[in-house]
Formats: sequence, structure tokens, C-alpha cells
Amino acid sequence: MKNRLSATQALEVETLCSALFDGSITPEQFRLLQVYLRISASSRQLFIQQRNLHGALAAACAYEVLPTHSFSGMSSHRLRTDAKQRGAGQKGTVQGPRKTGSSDAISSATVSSDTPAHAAASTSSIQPRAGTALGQSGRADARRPAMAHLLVATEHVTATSLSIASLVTILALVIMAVFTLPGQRLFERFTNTTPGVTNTTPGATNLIARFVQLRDCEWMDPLMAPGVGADLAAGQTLRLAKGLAEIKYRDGVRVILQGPAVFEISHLGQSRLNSGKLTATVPSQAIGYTVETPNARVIDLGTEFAVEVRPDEQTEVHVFQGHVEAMRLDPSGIVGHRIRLAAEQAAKFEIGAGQEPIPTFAADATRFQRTLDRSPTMTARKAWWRKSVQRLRADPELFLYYTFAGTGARQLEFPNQALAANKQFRCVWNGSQALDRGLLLVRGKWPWSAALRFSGESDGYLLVEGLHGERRANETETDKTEVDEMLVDGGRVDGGKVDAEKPRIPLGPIPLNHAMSLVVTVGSLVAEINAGADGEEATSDSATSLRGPILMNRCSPTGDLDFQLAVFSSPCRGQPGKVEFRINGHSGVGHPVAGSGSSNPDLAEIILSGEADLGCRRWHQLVAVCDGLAARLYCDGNQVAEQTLSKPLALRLGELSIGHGLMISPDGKIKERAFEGLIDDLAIFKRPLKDAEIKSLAELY
Amino acid sequence: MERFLQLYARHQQYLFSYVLALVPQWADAEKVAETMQLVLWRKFEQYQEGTSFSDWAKQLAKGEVLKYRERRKKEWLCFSADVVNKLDQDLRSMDGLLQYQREYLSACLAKLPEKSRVLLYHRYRGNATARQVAEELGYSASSVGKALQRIRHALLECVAKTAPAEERR
Repeated sequence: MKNRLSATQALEVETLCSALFDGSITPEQFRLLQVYLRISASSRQLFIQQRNLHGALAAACAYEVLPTHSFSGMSSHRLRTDAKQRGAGQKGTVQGPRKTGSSDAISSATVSSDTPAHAAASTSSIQPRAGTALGQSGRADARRPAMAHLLVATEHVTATSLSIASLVTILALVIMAVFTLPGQRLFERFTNTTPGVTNTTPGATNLIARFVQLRDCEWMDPLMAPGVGADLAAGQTLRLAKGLAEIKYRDGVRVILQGPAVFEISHLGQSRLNSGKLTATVPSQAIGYTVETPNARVIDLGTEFAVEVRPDEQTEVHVFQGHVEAMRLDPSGIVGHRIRLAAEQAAKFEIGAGQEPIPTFAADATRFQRTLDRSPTMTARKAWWRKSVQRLRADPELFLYYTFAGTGARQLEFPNQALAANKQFRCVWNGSQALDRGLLLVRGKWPWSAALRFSGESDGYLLVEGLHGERRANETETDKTEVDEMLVDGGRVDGGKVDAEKPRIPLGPIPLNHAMSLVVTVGSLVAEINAGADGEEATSDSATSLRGPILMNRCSPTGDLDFQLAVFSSPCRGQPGKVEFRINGHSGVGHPVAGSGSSNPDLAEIILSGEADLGCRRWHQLVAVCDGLAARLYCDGNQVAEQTLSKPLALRLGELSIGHGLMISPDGKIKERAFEGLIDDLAIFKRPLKDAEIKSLAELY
Repeated sequence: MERFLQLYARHQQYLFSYVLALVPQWADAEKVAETMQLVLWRKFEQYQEGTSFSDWAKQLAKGEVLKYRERRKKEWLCFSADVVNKLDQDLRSMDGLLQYQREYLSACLAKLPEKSRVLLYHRYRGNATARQVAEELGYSASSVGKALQRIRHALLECVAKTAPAEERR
């Protein structure tokens, strides 16, 4: 082939193509592109391929084939084929199920191939949206008769509605195909690439940095907070609204980000600061580490330095140790003046400074956070926390205590941390594929603690082992075999999976001596980004993020509720949240444990319901206390509900599940549902906690 | 009529991609494609069964492109006639290549890192410019432009690798 392009020329053609496609081409560039196309067959071929790709990408995105197929593991090629076959075999009405995103209005229209004119009419009212979608029909490749009918019937309406009408049909088809897949949406995936989410993708190789310290961080993305140790991927952007975050790259570079700041983990050896302040400490093996800002590039020469991008986009570079080389960068990425800065020197890069020399001045270390290591407050707080937890664990009446830190190798399982209690009461995830199905370990109330994140969609929950199985006398220490045997006896098979065939035999509910306290710290998922593509996309109900049954206890074989703590209503929307503690107690003093069912006349139903401020961005501690005389409910140390009891309740612990329970509507309908939110620590005492204790616990968690 | 629809539906994306290659601006390409649809339908009786529909359609499409060019030739963002002719010739020899490019695209999209997919999604959904995407995602326009260019390059390379050897040319 004549006129073969060199690598540089090919790159130039690609650059010109991109400029043309993305709307930034200048007349000069376009002229150059034309010259290439005129003289070189290779560049024409390159251009045609690029242009073809451009069209195909637009088609893929228009039908959400791009985001959807990528999760399903099914190629969109197959997806489209499915759609085609479906369409061909179905000559009657093609109905698009409700679809997410901007095309809602379009797709919810029923498109019938028998009444195409009607379809065209119903879609022509959606012109504004369809404007951008216009012509997508032109590059659609869902080829089928129904669409063709539409084309003809609407031919004399207008060209516009013609395009829309066929678009509707195509959308309906694609949507149908999409909905046959385990539908995950781009937005969910999108949230995983945004800061704030612990990246749990196994084997991800582009994880090049991690958070090593976080102090009072709030993120602009309204996602839950990431934990210390959370991995960061190349290309990830962090939008810190407030607080300090220390990031360590794999090559040893440490960056302290001071909020508010927008920072990109570009790749190893390079970061980008779009706004805000950072301090970087670069070890000798990582010399050359570069920070780019909108108008400057700073190359490290073995040092500690700080960069600030001010709201007016001026960049300041301050050097505390060693040297850096800093240079002006114009918006198109062309390097201007350079300057070498030594320790204690600083330089300022102004927008539009052109050829003027770069002003320098003395570095000001006081404006930057240079270290997070020796934070007296944090260290002291942690020490205090540790001590308090030790004291708590040693409480002889503490029966169950889970911090949810650390997982078992095979599945999520958490040891009982209460020192006085039986070690066998582990808390184990009983669903399948916990991590895939909405349960995640995230940062807890404290930077060093962990919490469980329930998405509200999981098929499983955490179950405390041993409470409802057959117990043996004097078992204080159990080894693995004993636990396993016990599990089988209890109607469960190996691995903690519930065997649905066998009834659960409640041989050993544990009596609580009429008194107990239940302490749990919960947080909300916080409205997760649903506006990934369209900004205006309505936040779905699921985004309200703290609700559902937190903990449920059942003892009787009939599966009736013994007690349950739950949060209802949507606390994120300004109104107070509703907390409910429900007890179906057996009121007879010293009432025998076995054989009591819902028909027992002594059964007392007590519902404690209180309103509490459950603001989204904070952790809340809920405490339910029962003594012989009354039941009380607390939120964040304040009592929100109380009810006196006519007789002491015979409380027992049986099948205790966390993150799952029953919804009982006022008309008595019962439905199982999963919790949605975060659960940090959970403790159950066999004694009533005093008000002062509750207050101090509220501080601790 | 039925026959036209069958043929048209089969070649729709192909024809749009053809027009797109010859018309620099996306919006204009859409307009040309629309008029082309109508022209094809009106002139369908002239099409001789047994001959290549795509060749026939392309002939008319090219006519539409040239008409559009006549109207817009005073604007700078418009290919000159000789470039259109040369591109047209090359396009004819690249039919197979472009077809498999479209088919293997999905497989390659799946291999992209999520971030790239998100970027593509923002760029192509609603046909935003690089500047708009940059504003939406909080990057600089130049970095978005470069990233898109890299992604496109990677996709083309991937497609070339993925496609079976016999289809490559």
C-alpha cells in the first residue's frame, strides 16, 4: 500500500479524528486532516475505521448495550441477536418494560406493529428528548419487520417522527433483551469506580494505591465512606469535600489530600490535582513522581513538596525538602516556562501568564498538612476506645458482642467477642455469595473499625450459631468438630448453609432472666449515586438507605417472632426516622421454655415505637432495654419510647438473625425482608443497662 | 414495499456509517441520513432486484452527501469534493472490515476498564462533546479528549486482534 503512515503520522491522524468527533477541532486541524485524507490511503482507512467505531459506539450507548452487557458477561452481539429473534417471532404487540434512564417515557410506550401510526403519534410528543436520539434509528441494527412497518406507516408523518418511531421499537426490543439478564445498571457499577467504595473486585490489577489514613473525611460523592486500607484504582478520581486523606501509592509515594480537593490517582508515578491542596512525600525509588494541575506540572526530584490549586485555578508549588521541577502547562497541554525549586522555595503559576517569568517566594509550610502520623487526638481516641472495648468485653453479663472485624476464609463469620460468653456463638453469613449479593465490609464508625453493609437486596443474613441448636452441658470450649456436629443436629448442614428441608429444632433457646439490653450501631447507606448518566434521574426508594429489621430473634418452632428491632421510614428525607422494638414475650414468671407457641394465652405483645433523628451522615446507636418492669428504647443515648410491663417477660435467645426480619403491617400481614443500611457493633447483655451506661456507650459507638 | 423494508433494515447501520464517514459533523450526518431514507424509498422502484442493494443505496447516499456539501461548502467544517470521492472509493473496499468492526466491538467494550466505559457512556449518550463530558465528570477537557482518543485506539486494536484472521481483509 502506498503512502503508509509512520507511527507519528498515524497518531496525528487519530488525534485529528478525536478532535473532530469530540467537537474540539479547529479550522487549522481540519485542513490538516483533509490533507492527510487527500494524500494517504492509509490515513483514509484509519479515518473510516475511526468513524465507523464512532458510529457503532453511539449506537451501543444509545441502547445501553454498552453498560449492560459488560456486567452480564453476555456479549451485546448475542444480546442483539436475541432481540432480533424475539422480534421476528413476535409479530404482535411488542411491549417495552419500564426502563431506567432518560428513555423512560419512550420505552413505556406500547409499540404495536399493527398500529404503527398510533405509535408514531404517541412518540411525537416526546420531541425534546428524542432530539438527541434522533438518527439513532438510522444506525440501529435491530432489523426486523415490525420496525419496517413503522418506517412505512410513518413515512408521510414527518421525518422526525419516523426516526423516533423506529427508535421506539428498537428500544423496546433492546430493553426486552436487557431485562432478561440479571439487570445491573451502569450506575451501580459507576459507584464502584468512585471513591468511597471499597473495591472488592478480586484480582483487580490496576489497584495502585490505598488509603492509609482518613481523618474526618466527607466526600462530594454522596457514597458511604471508604475505610482505611481501601484500594484505589488507576484513573480513579477522589472528590474530598472535607477532612484529610492520606494515600499511599504502591511505589511508596505518600500523598496527603486536604479537603476540599479533587484529585486523580492517574497512574503509578503520576497524579492530577484539579483543585485543593496536597502534600507529597516521595521516597528515592519513586523520584520523578509528577503532579499535574490545570496549569502546571510538578516533577519531583526526591523530596517533600506541596501543591495547591486555588479556586481561581492558580497553582502554587511549595517545596519543603529536596528539589522539584515545575513548569507551566497551557490548556492544550503544551509546556511553557520551567523552574527548579529548592527547599523552602515556592512558585506561583497563574492562568494566562504567557511568557512572563514564574514568580517565586518563600515556602509556607503552615498552610499545608504535612503529616497525619502523630495526631495526638486520634491516637488518644483510639487508646480510649480500645480500653473501653476491653472493659465492655469483660462485662460478665455481656452475652454476645460482634465487632464485625475480620472474616473467615471461606465465608463471612465473626467470633463472639464477649469474654464471659461461650465462644461458639459465632455469627455466620448464611446466604450465598455474600459479597456479590449486597453484603460488604466497610468502614465502621471509627476509622479502625468495620461495619457490615446490607444493600437490602441480599438473599441471606447473619445468623448466630449455637443458640438454637442442641447444647451440651458444661461446654465452655468447643472445637471445630463439636461445632460441626452441633450444626447438623440443629438442622443445618456443613458450611453453615441452612437446610430448608429439615425443620429447625429449637432445642436450646437460652433464657435471659427477664432482663436484657440490646445495643446496635447503625448507619445509613446514604443516597447512592443514581444520577450517573442523567443528573435528573430520580433517586429510587432504595436510596433512602437505613431501614428494615436490624435484628430478629425467634425461638418457637412456628417461627413466631420473639423480639425484633427495626428502623422504618426514610430518615434521609428530612423527617424523623421511626424505630421500633417489638417483643412477643411470655409473661408467666419462670414460664417453661419448651412447648410455648403463639397460642399461649400468656403471650404478651409489646410494641415500642419511637421517633428519632436518624440523619443520614451519622452513625446512630439504638438500645433496647428490658427489665422486669419496663421496656425502653433509646436512640443515641436518649430515650425515645418506654412501656411498663404488667409482668416480667420470659425472654429467650433462639434463632438470632442480623440484617433480616419480618415486616408486620398494621393489618397483620407478615412479610420477610432484608435490612438496608450499615451495622457496626452489636452487643446483647443479659442485664438491663443503666441510663448512664447507655450514654457512655453512645459515645463509644 | 415489504422488500424495501427488508433491504433497508438490513443495511441501515451500514448506510449510516457510510454517510458518517463522508460528513464531518454528526448532526449533519443525521440529517443527510434522514433525507437519504426518504429518497431511497421514493426511488425504490428504480432498484433492480438481483443487483446489490447496498451499492444502489450508496450511490444515492453519495448523491445526498454531495448535495449537502454543495449547500455547506462555504463552511470550513466540510470535506472537499475530492476527499469525499476518495473516501467513498475506500469505503467500498472496506465493507467487510467495517462490518466485523461493528460486530466485535461489544466483546472489546467488555474488556475495557470500567472507567473507560463510563467515559464512553457519558460521551456517547446524548452525543456530548468532550468539553461537556469534562464538565460533567470534573476532568479537564483536554484530558477527556486524550482519554477518548486512547480508548478508541485501544478498541480498534482490540477489534483487529479479536476478529478471526480470515476476516481481517
